[in-house]
Amino acid sequence: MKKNGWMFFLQGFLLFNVLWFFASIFVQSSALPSPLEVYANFPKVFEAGIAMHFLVSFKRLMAGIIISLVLGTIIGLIMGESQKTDKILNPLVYFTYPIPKLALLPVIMILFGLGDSSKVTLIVLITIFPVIVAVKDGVKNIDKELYNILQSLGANKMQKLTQITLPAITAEILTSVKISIGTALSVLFFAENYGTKYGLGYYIQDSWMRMDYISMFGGICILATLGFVLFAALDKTAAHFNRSN
Amino acid sequence: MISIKNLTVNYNNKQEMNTLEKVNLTVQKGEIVAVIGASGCGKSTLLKVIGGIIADYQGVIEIDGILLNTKENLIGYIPQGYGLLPWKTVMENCLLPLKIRNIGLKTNKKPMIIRRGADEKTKALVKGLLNELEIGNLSKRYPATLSGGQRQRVALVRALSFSPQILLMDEPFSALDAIMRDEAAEIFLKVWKQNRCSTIIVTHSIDEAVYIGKRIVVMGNSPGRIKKIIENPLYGDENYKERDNYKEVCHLIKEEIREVEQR
Repeated sequence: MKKNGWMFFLQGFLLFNVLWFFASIFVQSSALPSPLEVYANFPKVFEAGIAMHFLVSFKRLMAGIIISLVLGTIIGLIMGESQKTDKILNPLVYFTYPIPKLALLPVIMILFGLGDSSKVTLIVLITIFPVIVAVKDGVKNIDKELYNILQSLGANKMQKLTQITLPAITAEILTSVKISIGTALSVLFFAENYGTKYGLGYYIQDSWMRMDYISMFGGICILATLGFVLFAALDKTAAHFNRSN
Repeated sequence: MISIKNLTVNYNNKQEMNTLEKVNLTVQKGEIVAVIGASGCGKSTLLKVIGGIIADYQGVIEIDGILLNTKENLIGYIPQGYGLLPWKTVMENCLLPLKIRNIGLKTNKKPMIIRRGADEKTKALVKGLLNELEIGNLSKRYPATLSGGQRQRVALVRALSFSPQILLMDEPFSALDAIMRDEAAEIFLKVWKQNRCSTIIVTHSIDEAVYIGKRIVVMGNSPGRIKKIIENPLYGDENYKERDNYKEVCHLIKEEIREVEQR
């Protein structure tokens, strides 16, 4: 992130906290504590083992994203390379993309159980579609002249894939994941509602049930930080791969 | 040496390209042949066939006596837009052919795990070429940050980096402005003379053809075929523009092209 990127972040962070502060004064409810109280309570939140909850959530999220990236890239590449497969799969992708995947939760729970696999599956279902579409479109937009160069050099298919196709679409793939990070986190929050005693979603809802609103906000802040850090990291990596364009 | 016998390419609506009919051409080692003709006469198609990019053709193409095979032959191909990989630096772009053909790479005991880079000798060689073209200081830059002329030079270094048997250039100077075009052509000849590989250069500029081409091939269209091959009397003459027959030669080529267009 550039220097003005940090300034941008700081500006947003400060403005958000000011709004939050005044909202808490205005609402005057224990359900909306002031940010100062929440931040002052952070040591307690850490004592209660939030780091562990964070790691569990992070692990689930990363597992989902990595599976999406690998599977989505493979499916997208096949669709981008072969017109036949594209003709068959494209209507399916188009049809299933807008279906709210969260509504499938009962089915996924029955099929994958209450453990981590159903949670990861949900994240995969949310994040894989943008990856497929980004890869498929990305492949079609690659300048054919670049492949011609490799062709005249006698490159094999693997070399064409690693030297041109993958580097050409990396930025688009990362951007697509970046955009779906927010949704993936919301889904994770929801999925950590059942069958687990770990994860930020569990921590937030557990604090909520115990009416420990200050700790609940602590959990929300950590979850938001996770989302923000991932977003910024993907943004930066995508920009690195995109500097050429 | 490039030897083309009875090369025919039929129209194929999947790929946008022009047809060729019974093209016969031989380019000797150490010779530059300039191909000129109206747009749509199949000049680029011809280069793509020789470059192994279009595989659907009839006829025989041999490079140094061996049937065209991109995996065996070393072909330097420069497409119209130069085809530099935007995510690779100038140096990485120039090392690409060596990487693909496994030439001059560091030996690696654990293949697949560690990416092999070029060895020092190869890097120095490429660096030397870059320096010669006065772009040595740009080796860490990305193509998007370069000017048209600089990109053209990078593409030239890339095509020459692995000492190709033949060099194919598709309108390499057409994107440059007039002053830079002359300079680029001059620099090209300077580096080309070091290895003198058989070269075909496609151009639409008569002036360029007269400056660079030992022979000038005029192509006619629909279907694309060779209309006339002109021995260039001004080849290798740096002051070619001042010669008495300069206008005559240009006029001759112009007439040949015009005849094609009028049909």
